[in-house]
Amino acid sequence: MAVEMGLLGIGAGLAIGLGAVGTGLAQQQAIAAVVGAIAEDPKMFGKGLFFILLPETLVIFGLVIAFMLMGRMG
Amino acid sequence: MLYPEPMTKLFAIAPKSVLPKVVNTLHAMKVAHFVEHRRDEYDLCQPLLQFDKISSLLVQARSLMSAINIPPVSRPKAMLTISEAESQLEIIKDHVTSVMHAKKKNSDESILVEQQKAIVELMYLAGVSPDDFFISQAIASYFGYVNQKVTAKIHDITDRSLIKSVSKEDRYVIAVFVDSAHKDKIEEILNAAQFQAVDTIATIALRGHAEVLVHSLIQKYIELQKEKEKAETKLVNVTKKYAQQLADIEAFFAAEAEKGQAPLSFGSTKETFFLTGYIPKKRKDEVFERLEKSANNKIHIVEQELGEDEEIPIELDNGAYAKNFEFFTRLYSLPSYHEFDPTKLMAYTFPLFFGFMLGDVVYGIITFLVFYYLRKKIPEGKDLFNILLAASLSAIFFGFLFGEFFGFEPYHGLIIRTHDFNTLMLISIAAGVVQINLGLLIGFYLESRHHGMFHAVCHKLSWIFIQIGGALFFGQLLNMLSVPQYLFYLGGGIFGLGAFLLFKAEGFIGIMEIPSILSHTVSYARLMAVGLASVFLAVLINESATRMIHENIFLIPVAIILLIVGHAFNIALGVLSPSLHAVRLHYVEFFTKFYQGGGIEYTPFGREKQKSIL
Repeated sequence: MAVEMGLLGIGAGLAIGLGAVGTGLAQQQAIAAVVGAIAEDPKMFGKGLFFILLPETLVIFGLVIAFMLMGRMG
Repeated sequence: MLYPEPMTKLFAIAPKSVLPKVVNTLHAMKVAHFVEHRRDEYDLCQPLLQFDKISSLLVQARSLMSAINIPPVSRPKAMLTISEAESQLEIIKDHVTSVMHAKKKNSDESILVEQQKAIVELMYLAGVSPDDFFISQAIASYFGYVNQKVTAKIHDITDRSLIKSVSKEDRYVIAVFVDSAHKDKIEEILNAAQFQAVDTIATIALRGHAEVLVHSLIQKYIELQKEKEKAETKLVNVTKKYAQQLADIEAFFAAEAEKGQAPLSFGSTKETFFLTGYIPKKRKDEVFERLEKSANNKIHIVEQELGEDEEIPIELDNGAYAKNFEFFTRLYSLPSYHEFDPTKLMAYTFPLFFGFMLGDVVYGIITFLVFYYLRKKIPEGKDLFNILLAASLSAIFFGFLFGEFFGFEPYHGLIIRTHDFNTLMLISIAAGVVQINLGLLIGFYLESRHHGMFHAVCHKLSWIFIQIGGALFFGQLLNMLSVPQYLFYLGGGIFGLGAFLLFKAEGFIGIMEIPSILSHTVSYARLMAVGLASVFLAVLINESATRMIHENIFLIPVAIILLIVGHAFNIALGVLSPSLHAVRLHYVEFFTKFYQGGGIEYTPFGREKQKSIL
């Protein structure tokens, strides 16, 4: 039982941690490109923001999964 | 109300004799968004007569303004005629130029005297004077720094030399006068001692002993500084005296230049000109009446039909509160003419989302005060700060609801954010379901209006079927819901129907896209996630500070600093993150259900350009 709890805990940690890594990897490219685009044309700010924030959903999904796993832990 | 301002398209034709009057009337009314005439069998109209002269005067006014650093004004205060403005500009130009010229002369002289003083001081140190460095064929002279003594080495080559040397810091100042015949060898020695020449050109005209010269140069420099102060005061006075007048003249010429070049958008025949433009429908009668009056009824105006695919300029039509949120709509893209303007919808959901995420009474009050101050300080950011003020009020409201004050919980709110994760998540997802389906319903309405009911059902309603059916069918299948057997099968059927309709509308890609509805809905969990990050950071800061105080009474100052810096950081994050995420939820999850955008801005002739913070 303790092992199962531990594995659930590790799973929850991995879900949010890997989600954050994925978000980071995706954002590093998106932000670099968006900053370049805004430097060319400040009107790109709105659309740029849109693209920067797109990958942040990954970490949120990780968080949701982490909560679901923690729910199972009781 | 939910659509952009209704527009109408006018075509007007009139003899060229009334062109200036028509242009003046339209400029004053600030109503017509011209359609550029493309050169075809009819040529472009020529600019108004005095356009060239006015543009040149405008350039003069602007260069004067930039020379004395005056910001432009949007509207002139004084009423002027072209000749009045021109003669006023001439007077200002003469005055400003003479003051600027005196200032420049003074600054050039000061630089020269400073240079001379530095060189002569060095000469005085070495025991020579500027007169010693006369140009001669027979004698070569050198003046500068060396890093070692060279006197003995030079004497080894020739006696026909005069060397003055004195140590200064870790180098030597040296003046060498030597027979030109030995020039090459002397230069070799000097180069070996890393000779760095001091250019004596600036002092070539000076006569007299170095010591006397230093004194007189200092005196001259002091006088020049006094003159400089006087010149600067004069410039400040001139700037003060003419700032408003010059800004008025610039604004006047800018308006005249705009009028002058307006006919370039019109078409013309030999005797007539014609123009096409969009105006708001509600001002149609007024425009007809005033144009006919100004042209003494010598103008013929026709209202034209608006085409379905025409690029009609967009004037958003929102009340005082929602108008601020046009900032976000513009940032994304203006709606096209036949689309819903999403500004009003966003005006209520954005502050709600923001408040739900920040949700702290004290944080809300602080951000409110900060944005109130910034709104006063940066007028061009007024829209954005108004939005953030509304958002701060919402944060205060949710703060009371959650019972949160600076991360502390003095009473139990309706929801305790540090414990009721599941409730928070449910509320967040429910907000997502509501907003996404609202978007789909708006999309359904718009599609049915423009492309027919069947198209709308396939493209938009299918998604609602997929959600309802999917929730019943997969909820039961994955043991997340417990529904009667018939609802399970019904759910499967509805899901299948939705998927089929979507396949009909968008093909295989549509089927591939089905999971996106789930990801869009779950994406609203950020409402909970961002809020939790903010509240836990606040709790962490408070707990660390409290522990410090309990452990050691002398750590109180450190604890106070931790509280101030920590909460300041958390507030900064607490503004940035919730606002970005709230905007994102609208842009990505909500707008994509019904909104395309791509409209062009309505920029009526004569209306001043609005300044924006971005």
